[in-house]
Amino acid sequence: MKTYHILGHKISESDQKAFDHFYGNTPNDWTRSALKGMINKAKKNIIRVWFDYYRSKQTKEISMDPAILIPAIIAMDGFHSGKYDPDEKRSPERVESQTIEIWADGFEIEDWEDLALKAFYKDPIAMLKYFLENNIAICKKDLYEAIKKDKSYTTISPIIDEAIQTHVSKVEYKTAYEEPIEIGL
Amino acid sequence: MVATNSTNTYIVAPTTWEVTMPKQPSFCATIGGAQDNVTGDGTGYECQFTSEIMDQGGDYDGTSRFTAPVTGVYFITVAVRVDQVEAAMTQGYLKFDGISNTQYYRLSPANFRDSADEFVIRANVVAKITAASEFYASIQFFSGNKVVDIVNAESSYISGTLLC
Repeated sequence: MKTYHILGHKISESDQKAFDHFYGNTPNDWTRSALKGMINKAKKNIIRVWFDYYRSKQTKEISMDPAILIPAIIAMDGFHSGKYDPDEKRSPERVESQTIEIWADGFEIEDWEDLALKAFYKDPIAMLKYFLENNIAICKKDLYEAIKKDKSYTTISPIIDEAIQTHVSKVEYKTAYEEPIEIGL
Repeated sequence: MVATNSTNTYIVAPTTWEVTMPKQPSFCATIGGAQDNVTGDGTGYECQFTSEIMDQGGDYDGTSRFTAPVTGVYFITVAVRVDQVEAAMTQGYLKFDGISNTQYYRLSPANFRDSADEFVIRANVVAKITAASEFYASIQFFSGNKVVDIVNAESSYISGTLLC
């Protein structure tokens, strides 16, 4: 077992509010599920590309337990990976300082999961940060667009953080999650 | 015609000019076996599709959840064949979680059921999913007993693909 200590990643209050508006879980829980998805993708892609080659080199029975299989594949002579890296980088617009530490406890992962992540991604932690920042950027942009459509406002701050803080402090404010869209069949 | 970047060939057309995109996220899975007594009394249940047909990109977890590898617009379809639907179950939902706005497909199970107390719920959505967000489907029937089963791999499946 290994703990990913991703200390020092902070978000602002408006980041948190925009995230809360669209999700029913915390940035920490969301990151945990994102990390799970990254591990799954790394595992499946390593096995898909390398399993036949690995099998051709084995003379004994092969274990399909990823805790055994993944380290064995990665340890093979000639193993290499594409080192997946996002082409796009995106950060949310911020004027507020980032004061909320969201990954203070780190994330527990198995040793083989750590190996798979490092083999498949160029920089797993940078990838995770990119995913979160990208998500917050989209949440803030979408919430700001929703605020601009709210006819109860006569003026709206051009600064996204200010507009979000004003909006979420309204008495009648509800998150998108509290007001799901219903479509009858 | 072949389009590549430094590491991948992502659009391929052979001499017959059909275009394929071998890196485009796309998946399909059916239920592995019947899932018994999952809802009916208001219990929400995350549908399990454990028999993977294909998973281009490796973004489906083999159980129930698809993690979007990039932010984009996805086409998702879910079908669930339910059995043992009771007359009292006048309200229910098939719910799409993890998309830009959670969507509920509202239905009246009691009115949909056939003489064998079964029916198939099918729903599609075109929705934005943010990179690294998980998508999954769940069902929730109300006002009866927790006796509703999900059955039949030919009728119960989930699939999705990145459109743009």
